[in-house]
Amino acid sequence: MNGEVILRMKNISKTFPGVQALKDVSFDLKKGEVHAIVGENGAGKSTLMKVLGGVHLAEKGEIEINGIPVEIHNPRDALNHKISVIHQEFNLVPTLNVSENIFLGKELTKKLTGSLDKRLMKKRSRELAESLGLNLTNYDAPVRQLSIAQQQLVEIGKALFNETSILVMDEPTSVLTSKETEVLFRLINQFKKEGMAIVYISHRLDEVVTISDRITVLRDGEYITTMDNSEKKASKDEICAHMIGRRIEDYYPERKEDAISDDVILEVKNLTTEGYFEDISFNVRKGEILGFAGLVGAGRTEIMKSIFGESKYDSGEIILDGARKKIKSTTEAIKEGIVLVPEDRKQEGLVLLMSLADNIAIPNTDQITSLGTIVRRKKSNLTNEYVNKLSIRPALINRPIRNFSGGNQQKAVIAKWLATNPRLIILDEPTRGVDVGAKSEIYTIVNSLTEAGVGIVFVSSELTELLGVCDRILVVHEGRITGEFNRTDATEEKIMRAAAGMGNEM
Amino acid sequence: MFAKISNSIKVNRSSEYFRFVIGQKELRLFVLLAAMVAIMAVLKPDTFFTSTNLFNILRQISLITIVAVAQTLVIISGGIDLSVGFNLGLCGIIISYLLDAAFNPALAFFAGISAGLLIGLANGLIITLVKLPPFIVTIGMAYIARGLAFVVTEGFTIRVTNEFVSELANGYVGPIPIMTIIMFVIVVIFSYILNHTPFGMKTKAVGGNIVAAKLSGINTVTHRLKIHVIGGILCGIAGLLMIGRLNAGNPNAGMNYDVDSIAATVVGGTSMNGGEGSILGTLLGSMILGVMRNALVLLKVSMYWQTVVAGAIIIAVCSIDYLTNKNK
Repeated sequence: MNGEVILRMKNISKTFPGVQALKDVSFDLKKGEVHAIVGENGAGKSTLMKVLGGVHLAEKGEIEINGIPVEIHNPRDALNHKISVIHQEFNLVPTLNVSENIFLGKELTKKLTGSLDKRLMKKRSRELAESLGLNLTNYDAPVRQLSIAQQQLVEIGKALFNETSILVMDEPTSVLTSKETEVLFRLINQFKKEGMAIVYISHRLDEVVTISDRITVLRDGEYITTMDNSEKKASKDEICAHMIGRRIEDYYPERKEDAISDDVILEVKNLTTEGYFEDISFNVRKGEILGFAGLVGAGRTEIMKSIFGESKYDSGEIILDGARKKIKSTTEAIKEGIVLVPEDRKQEGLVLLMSLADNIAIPNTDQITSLGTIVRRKKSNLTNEYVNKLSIRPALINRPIRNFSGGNQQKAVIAKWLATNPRLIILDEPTRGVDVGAKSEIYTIVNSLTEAGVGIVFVSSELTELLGVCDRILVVHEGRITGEFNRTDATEEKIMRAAAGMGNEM
Repeated sequence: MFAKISNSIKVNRSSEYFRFVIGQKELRLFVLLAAMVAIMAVLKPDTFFTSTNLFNILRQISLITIVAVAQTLVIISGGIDLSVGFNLGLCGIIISYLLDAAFNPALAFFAGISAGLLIGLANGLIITLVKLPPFIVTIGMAYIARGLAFVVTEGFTIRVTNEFVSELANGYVGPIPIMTIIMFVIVVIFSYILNHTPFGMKTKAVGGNIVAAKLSGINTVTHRLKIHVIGGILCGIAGLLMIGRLNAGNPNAGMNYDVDSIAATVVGGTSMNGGEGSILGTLLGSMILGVMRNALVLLKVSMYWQTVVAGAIIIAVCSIDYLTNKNK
């Protein structure tokens, strides 16, 4: 029966080195409902669902399904309880085709010979795919050749094939176009009617309000509240306030208008790389924080990497302090005083095997070397200076960087660049996956840098953050700049419209 | 509470200092080596625990250790070099050939070591510019080097009579073989470079996370080129010593040095994934394998079984290392 509680998670706690990811979180889910979980990055949404899916084992807490306590130790246990989780990164084998993926581990065989019954599997998976609206011309193609939305449908197909009764979707729309999102929502509503219980994780509050029946807010690994949304009228401001935990005005440091000078540090003219971005022009002034909004995949990261000399661009100009520069490598960019705090600090920002001190030292070896030798005292002095400035905790400089929390790792990446005395810092999603406290610290650091005359480019997918931090916001849609807003006249709605390519009525 | 914290920091500092002097991995290897020596000293006091035998072991491991230093640098930087063996073989052949043709010896040495450098450079260029996996590039290069050695010699062995070369490989300073001194000098130099210079730090960064290294302003292409060039030069030096040991340039010389150098490197605790490892560890790894081989001979284990035992020991040492790291 719809409305019955199918899943109850009680007092779940989970710790990772350096962070308590979940503290006594409880959550319940009813048949035939869409229950959204929202919260900032690092709030514990994904961790909670990984506990449910058997990826992580909670230290404390209970899980009940249909009123019966169950133990979920691994993903197979979760599947046996008819729980399917669709992660942001899909669990498909890219080289196998649709039917091979759907039947993976449950292959049908011919009775007589024991060999794979490929025809039957293909037929069944094709029926399933078509019922989901996945109409392919070639079902034998490896799934890596399908679009992201199509791959997602294959994942959903896998879940249906397992007769899933609890379906978890982690940020399912972050990679979809608005049309694809509509298709997905139709499917979700259909599943709901059939009695499936759906957990929907997203930080797009518009969508959350549109699709969900109840909304649970997590913050910093703690349960905050559950809001009713059966009328689809929950207030986004209220959700936001719960997510942040204080009024937005108190959360962001105050901007001093006089920090911005008239001197332009960086001017970009008509920067173009075919297939990624086109005709990008903007400038950054001393002491200014320039925001870049847009959807994931809009081309912002590629623009930043081109300015930083990591990837080449086809045409256009980069002008630094009035002089035209052709930056061909990251080494040259750093020499010119341009640095980039990359999107993915673990993959791109840090060498995880190394210590905090070594990570800070890598781009600054000139400062700590005499006679070709790294002087340990100089290295620890340099490191300690920035560890104190940015209050990186714990202040153990020889500790491997992988043992620090996300926020402190991010501060380490910023520290390594501050030590090079940059003129322009590009921050690409600097607060992704860091806790609320560290976020606020990062905003403060950025703010104080501008007072020292550094120019900041701040790329983020979180609108509240952009509105709170930036002096000016540019919006990128499909590789083009589709909007520019000053601090005073920027609103979430205007930015969203520009980010979706709907133009703006200015 | 503050007292507690400062106390724990102090403890941390002293253990840090200790680790600075000798890393934990190296300490474990040293204990293992000492245990092997101690056991053999008891079992075979007359044949094993004599200065002649011990220096003999050191001389036997000198060549492979020099090659293993090259291998360790390449592996720490995130690569692998399967061409070291035939690279050193070809370098030796070139030197032998030129000496035989009555070239100026200095010029012959220079040419041979340059050949090593060029092979390293070629490896590095193909790996960084074509972006082929190092495994494939260096396996191909191994064939090329070996083939060239046969092309030059037409399959024959070239006799080497140069006294300097012979003295370098077979001579002694007091009781210590000159080759062993060369090995130690190379170990000390590269251990220092790896642990105390920007070059070493960058090598570990490139091997640990090449994307982050590049985004930190390290020119990863030239850095990896340099590593391969250094590796090639070390192979050239090893090639020179090899012909001195054999008093001949043999086109088959250097066979198995690729696998043996990797064995010494991994027994020495260097991660095949790159990013961490130590030259001192490689020296200890090479010593452990050397003592083991010597011990098996003295214990009259048949030559064929020796190889089996060597394999088992490599797997055992690395398993222990892997399991202790996993539990960390």
